[in-house]
Amino acid sequence: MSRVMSSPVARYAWLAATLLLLVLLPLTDSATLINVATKCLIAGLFAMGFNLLWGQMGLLSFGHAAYLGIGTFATLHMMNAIDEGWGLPAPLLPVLAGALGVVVGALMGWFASRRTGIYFAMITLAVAELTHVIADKWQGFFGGEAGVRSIRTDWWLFGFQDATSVYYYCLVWSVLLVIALWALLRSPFGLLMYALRENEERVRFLGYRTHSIKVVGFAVSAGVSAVAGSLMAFMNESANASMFATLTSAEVVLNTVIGGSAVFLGPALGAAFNTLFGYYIGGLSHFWLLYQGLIFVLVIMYAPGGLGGLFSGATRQAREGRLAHHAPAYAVGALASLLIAVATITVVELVGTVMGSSYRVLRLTSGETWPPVSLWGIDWHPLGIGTFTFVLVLIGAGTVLLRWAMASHRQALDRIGSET
Amino acid sequence: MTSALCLTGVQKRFGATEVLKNVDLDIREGERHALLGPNGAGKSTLFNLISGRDRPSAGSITLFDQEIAGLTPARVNRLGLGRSFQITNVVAGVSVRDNLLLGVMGLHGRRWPFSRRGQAWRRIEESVDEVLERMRLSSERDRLAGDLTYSQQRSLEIGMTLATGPRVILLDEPTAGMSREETSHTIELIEQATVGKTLLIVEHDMEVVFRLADRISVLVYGSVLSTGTPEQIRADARVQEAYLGEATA
Repeated sequence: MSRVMSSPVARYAWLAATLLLLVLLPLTDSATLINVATKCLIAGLFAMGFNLLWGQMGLLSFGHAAYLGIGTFATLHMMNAIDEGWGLPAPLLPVLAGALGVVVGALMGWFASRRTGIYFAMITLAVAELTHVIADKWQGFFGGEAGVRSIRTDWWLFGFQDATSVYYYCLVWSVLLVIALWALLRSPFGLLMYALRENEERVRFLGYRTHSIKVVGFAVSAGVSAVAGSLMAFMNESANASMFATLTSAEVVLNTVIGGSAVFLGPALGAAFNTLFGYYIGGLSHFWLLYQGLIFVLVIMYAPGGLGGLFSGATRQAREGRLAHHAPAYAVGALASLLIAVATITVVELVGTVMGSSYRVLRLTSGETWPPVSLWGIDWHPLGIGTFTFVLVLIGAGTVLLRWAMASHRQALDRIGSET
Repeated sequence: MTSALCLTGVQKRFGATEVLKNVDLDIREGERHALLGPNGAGKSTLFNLISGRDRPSAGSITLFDQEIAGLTPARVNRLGLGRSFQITNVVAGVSVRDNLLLGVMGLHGRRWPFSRRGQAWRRIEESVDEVLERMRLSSERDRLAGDLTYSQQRSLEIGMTLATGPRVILLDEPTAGMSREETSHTIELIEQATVGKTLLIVEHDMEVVFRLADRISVLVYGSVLSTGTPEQIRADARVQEAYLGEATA
């Protein structure tokens, strides 16, 4: 924990800027961007709820899809009830869905948190699978393959018929809940949850029923996830049982790892990153999942603190006036990563395309054995000497630069070490 | 004199191994009682049974006439018994102050502390400062407990035990690994902190034991060999043979 203090204004300037950016985002008037941003908010809130368990209490849940899904389906049915004339105010849907999430979470958490570590993860996974099976079979409630549909109803002065209003609806709820989570983590109860992660036995001998504390943490985590699910229902106006699949549970873990579980807003950052990546890179390349996987592996290997860890590390260096020492290393490192990334993408795209079925068609129609592949506006010959040279030069240059950057970074660290 | 802690016929087996055979022990209210015994005699196991970490295989343990055998550690602590650990057991990743806060909050009934407001909270902060002062840790209050020196961590360990305000205090080798000066200070501190309270302490340092204890029990191979005043224990031929002999040789 850093003892260096700077004015809160400087410290939270970036936070205020982000919030301002989010508030002003609909001014772009791009429905696509607003929709993607809404998805980012929902995935971010889900990851924040998930990380209350993992980041604060060290409990890795592999079954949070269950709580997300419960929030979604509860909300869809409530929306239908409103449509049929029930006097439920639409803005309160997340409250009721969240409450349901808390109740179910408390129940499931009671079982799961009797164990820790891998056993905890296995129990949560089992519960999620069970929920998935129930959702698949119970067609009356979950709608089977077709799923459940509903429509948003306006409430009082608020109309919810366009993307912008839905975006603001999600933004308000996300910000409120993130503030509430922040307050919870800063409270002595947050300390208790963290102490439990560090040394549960000691906390027990200080007179606390640690199991109850874990159940409460689980319930809150499930509640926040259910609210995220509720927002999802509000946005999509439909859902089916496939959202209960293990993939959903795995995604939130992935988002949190990439964002960094030790930084408060890390999970939200990771979720936004992956959502944007999936949307924009997914539109550009068939192989985007491979790239996402590579990023995941690289983060785990070289930046275990995630994007949030990198960001908070850099802001700390800036605060302590050390960023200038590291800046050359960072700049060269970024350039090296770019070179290696371009080389990797070239290889993946060429190999991927050549292996693909459309390339076989191209072979037949063009009559050539190795017709060129078009990438970045250039025709690449799969076995051409130019292609190999390009890739090898890039990787070679990238490696040399990266080694230089790492050595320079180490030197800067040593210099600071000897100064203090 | 009433008994604070009373063990009758306590046994503990781990599988086929019988660690405690038959322990009878009567700790009187207000006394400082030391537990001696060679390694493997079962001292730590006994502490684990009393403090609720493990359940005895047989026998009864009462704290002020209330049966506590088999209760959870949290229950035993709330009934007024606090313990320290032989291997330093602090919350390494939070500050020294927060470690003590964890103990004090519980004492003031703030076991679900969602806010830092109110009269009670001011009293909690005051008692934390008091314990910091007493344990000579005031200057380290904002450091991470894991960054403290070994002996500072030992002090913190004792401070956390005291912070929950127990009437009966169990200390497991509190001065292990400390220098002479630190040991002497820690013992002074234990003397001050246990005035009007009941202390059961495991300690290997004979000087410490004879200086601190009102009575001593010697545990050998899972049962109590002898209980008495320091003079009686010193004079006891069986104790000398079983334990003191090898220690002073």
